[in-house]
Amino acid sequence: MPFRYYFYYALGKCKKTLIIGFQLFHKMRIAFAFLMNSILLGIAYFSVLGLTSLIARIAQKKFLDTRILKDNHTYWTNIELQDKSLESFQRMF
Amino acid sequence: MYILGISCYFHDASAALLKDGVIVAAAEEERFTRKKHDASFPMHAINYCLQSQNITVHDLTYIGFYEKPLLKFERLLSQHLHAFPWSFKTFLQSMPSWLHEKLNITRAIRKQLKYSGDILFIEHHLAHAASAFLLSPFKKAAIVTIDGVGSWTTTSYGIGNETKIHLMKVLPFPHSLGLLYSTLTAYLGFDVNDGEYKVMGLSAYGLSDKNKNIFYEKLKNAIDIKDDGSYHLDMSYFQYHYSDRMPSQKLCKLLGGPARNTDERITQRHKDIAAAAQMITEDVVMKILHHLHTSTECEAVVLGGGVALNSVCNGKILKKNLFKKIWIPPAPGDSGASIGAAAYIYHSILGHRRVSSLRHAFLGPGYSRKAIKNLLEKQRITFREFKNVRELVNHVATLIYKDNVVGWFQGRMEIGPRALGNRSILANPCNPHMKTLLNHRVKHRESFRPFAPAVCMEDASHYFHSDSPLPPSTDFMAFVYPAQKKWRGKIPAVLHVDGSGRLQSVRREYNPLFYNLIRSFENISGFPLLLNTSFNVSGEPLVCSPSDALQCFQRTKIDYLIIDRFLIGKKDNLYKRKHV
Ligand SMILES: [Fe+2]
Repeated sequence: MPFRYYFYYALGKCKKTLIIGFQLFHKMRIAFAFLMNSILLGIAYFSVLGLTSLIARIAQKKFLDTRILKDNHTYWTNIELQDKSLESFQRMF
Repeated sequence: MYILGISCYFHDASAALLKDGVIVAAAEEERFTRKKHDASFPMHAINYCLQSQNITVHDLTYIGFYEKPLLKFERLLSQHLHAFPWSFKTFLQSMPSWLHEKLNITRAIRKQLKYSGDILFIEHHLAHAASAFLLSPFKKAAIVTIDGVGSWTTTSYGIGNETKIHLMKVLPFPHSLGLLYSTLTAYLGFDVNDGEYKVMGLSAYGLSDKNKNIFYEKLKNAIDIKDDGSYHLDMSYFQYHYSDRMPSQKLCKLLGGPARNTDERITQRHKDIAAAAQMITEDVVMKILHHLHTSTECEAVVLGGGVALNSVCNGKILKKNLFKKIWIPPAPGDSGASIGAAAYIYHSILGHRRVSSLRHAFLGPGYSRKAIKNLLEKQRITFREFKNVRELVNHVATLIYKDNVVGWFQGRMEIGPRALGNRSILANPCNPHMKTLLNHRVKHRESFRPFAPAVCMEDASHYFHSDSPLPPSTDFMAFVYPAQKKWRGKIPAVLHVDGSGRLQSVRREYNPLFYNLIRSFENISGFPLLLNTSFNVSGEPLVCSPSDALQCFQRTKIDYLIIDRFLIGKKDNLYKRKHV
């Protein structure tokens, strides 16, 4: 009997185990990637955003205007001078 | 010249194709992928748009995107910075999709479409404004756009004149009328970006007297509205700017209890809160329009953004009669922003004259009679083919009159959230039990939500009350009208608890088949109107293809399905269900 037969026989027997193993590996890879992503994002959040927000707090700069101005008569704000050239629309900002 | 508009990555992704200033195709991605409110890159919708004109991406002169992604990203970072460190969880949740997908939109377009031409980014509210104004019937009009949030803007107003749009004033995030409504939607136990209709439906059951509804007074603590309609929210009541949970503890305390669970019973308190949310929304919109009317002296107004889908509020606007003319497009929300982006490029950037207004919403895919017949034969469906239209409409009208629930699939699919007679489920409006029957058999939706009447244009004001002639946007179910008192008992299935209906006027010139069907129904019943609800089951998007329609037909207790000229009866096909 050729060797190939034994190989496929063994493979058939182990197929289920192999599939489970591979799925587990795949899940671990995803979990690992997710973990790495989260760690990197966590570092970015607490270093870059943390520092920026600290500086902003010292400089008393607000990122969102959440004031309620009972005495003012309007909240409407003007749109800054609008650039309507073709180039301005090619930009993502 | 072809211009493709794209909107995606938030909710309701869509694509639209403009040919020499005329919208020739537009569709939401959800209709193809069958995932409701699908936000993914609208590859299917784009393919459909291109195929409908037999063109390829190389024929496109421009692609327009419905927002400026970096502005939106800046707003997002500002939110996280503002709430540091409480925004950590949402930062972790939102950043991967931004870094992998949303900031790479240019690459996605180039790679997925193999497109090398110009891509233009139109600010979100400008796209809303363009979608509302540039395809409206008006040469000059005041423009109001209100939604949850675009990049920074949540509310804006301005003027449109010929091909130019000038947005003058804005309200920036986090102050958002749309998000206030969404927060209360979440509080009432419904899904955000989907359940807002339910709140609107529920509001009719609540106390509409501002002096008696205690929640109206309470909610006014959470919003400061100025006489000119501008407003700021007291953000201590909200947390959508840094958290994925919408109602805050403080808001729950204000409203006297925790948020409602999805399966919890709806009480009068919930109904009153819904009514209060609706009244606050109407207060703001009315004040904005009043301010706009006095400051611009325009006689026409167009509305854009998701809040313009609030047909109850729109009905109140009509009643107020501030502007002589009003226009609301069939898809004022984000799914219509792709149309806006394309139209803005063609008219406002390139300066081409406006050629036509959007007078119907049938811009989606249509299917040939031959293809439909092949499908039915392949699936071994028993059907009857009608030789002419008159025979078809007479037969179907009789079926509806005999209280059958009928799936009606004709021509091209509608753009926008409402079925307008091409992908509709139709039923007898005169049967007082029809609402329960439909909910029980097909729609499985909340009993408090009303069904809409589709009425022949000429007869609409005979059955529904309006001080002025019905605006053309009534064709898109944009407004709720009170029914004339004498008819209220006669058409109970299409009226809400307060005797109002989200009327669709049907015109012969834009949908002759549907019009003739209603007329045939009139010949039998004496009423030129039908109950029209979207052809789908709860939780799924509107059906798009004949096979979607067949699947929906097989899974529900719809009695008859009509696709083009083919009539399919449930009883004739029952035994085949498992084989199909
Ligand atoms: Fe929007």
